Amino acid sequence: MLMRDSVTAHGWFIVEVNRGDSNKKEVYIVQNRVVRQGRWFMLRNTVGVNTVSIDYVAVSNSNTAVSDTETQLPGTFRNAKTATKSRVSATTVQWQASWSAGELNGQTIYSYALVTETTNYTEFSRVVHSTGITFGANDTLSVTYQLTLTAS
Amino acid sequence: MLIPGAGKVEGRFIIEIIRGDTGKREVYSFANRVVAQGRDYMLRNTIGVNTVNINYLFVSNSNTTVSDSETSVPGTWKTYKTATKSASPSDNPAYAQWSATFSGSDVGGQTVYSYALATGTDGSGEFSRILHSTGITFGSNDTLNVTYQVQITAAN
Repeated sequence: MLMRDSVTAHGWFIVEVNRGDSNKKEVYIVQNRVVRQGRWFMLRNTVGVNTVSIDYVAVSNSNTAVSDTETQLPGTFRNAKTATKSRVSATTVQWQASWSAGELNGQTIYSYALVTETTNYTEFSRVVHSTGITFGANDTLSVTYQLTLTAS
Repeated sequence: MLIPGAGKVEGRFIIEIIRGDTGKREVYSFANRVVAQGRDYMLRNTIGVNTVNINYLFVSNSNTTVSDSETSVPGTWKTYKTATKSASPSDNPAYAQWSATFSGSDVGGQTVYSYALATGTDGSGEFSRILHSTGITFGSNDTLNVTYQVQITAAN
C-alpha cells in the first residue's frame, strides 16, 4: 500500500490599509502561487542544502503581471521590511511586516512580495493588486503572507 | 493580475537492488505523499523557524499501511544510513534529494517492506514513507540503493 496523493502549496497575501484621516480600514486577501524560484528555495531549505533566508516583505509600484519565471521584484519604487516570521500551525507559516504613516506617502502600490534580500529584491512570491492603492501621509500598511501545505 | 494556482508537492522513492550473486539489478520507483509531520517540517525549514535536519534514510520490515498522521518509522526491525543530500543546481527542474546505500551486511536476511526518511536515528521525526506491498528479501551479497526526491511543480 502506498499513498499516491499529493500535497498542494498555497500562498496568501493579506493586505491591510489603515486610513489615518478617516480611521477606515481596508483589507484585501489575495491568493497566489510561489514562483518557480521560490519553489526551488523551498526545496533547498527542506533538504538543508544551499539554504536561503526568506526574511523580507516588500512592496512596489509595479503593475506588471506576475510571471512564474520572474526572479526579482519589479518596480521603479520598491521598499522592504524585515518580516516577523512565525509558525501559525502545522500547516501554515507566516511572514508579517508593517509600514508606518508617511513611509509610503504619495506612492501607489500594486505589488506585494516576499524577498530574500533588499538590493535586487530576489523574489520568493509576489501578487499584484490590479487597481493599486495610493497612500497618504497618515496611512499605514500591514502585509501578511501565509504559506500552507495541505494534502490533496 | 495574479497567479491563483498552487504548487504541487510530490515525493518519489527510487529503490535499486543489486543482486550480488547474479549481478541482476531490480529498480522500483514509487510516488508518495509527504506525511503531515513532514509537511510541517517543510514549512518550518522554508521559513527558518524551528528548523529540523532531515538526515536519515530508513528501511524496515513494517508492512503496515502508511498513515498521513504517523510520526515515526514503524517496524520490529529497521536500520538507517545518513543520507547524502543535494538540491538541484537550478530552479528548472527543481528538486531536493536524499540518497544512501545499504550493503549486504546491513540488510542481509531481512525482508524489507518500508522505505522512509526521518530526522532521528531511532526513526522518530518521520518525513515520508513508502510501502512495497510484496517486500524484498535480501541476501548477504546484495546491495540496496535508496533515493528519495521531492519536487514542487506548478499546479492550477
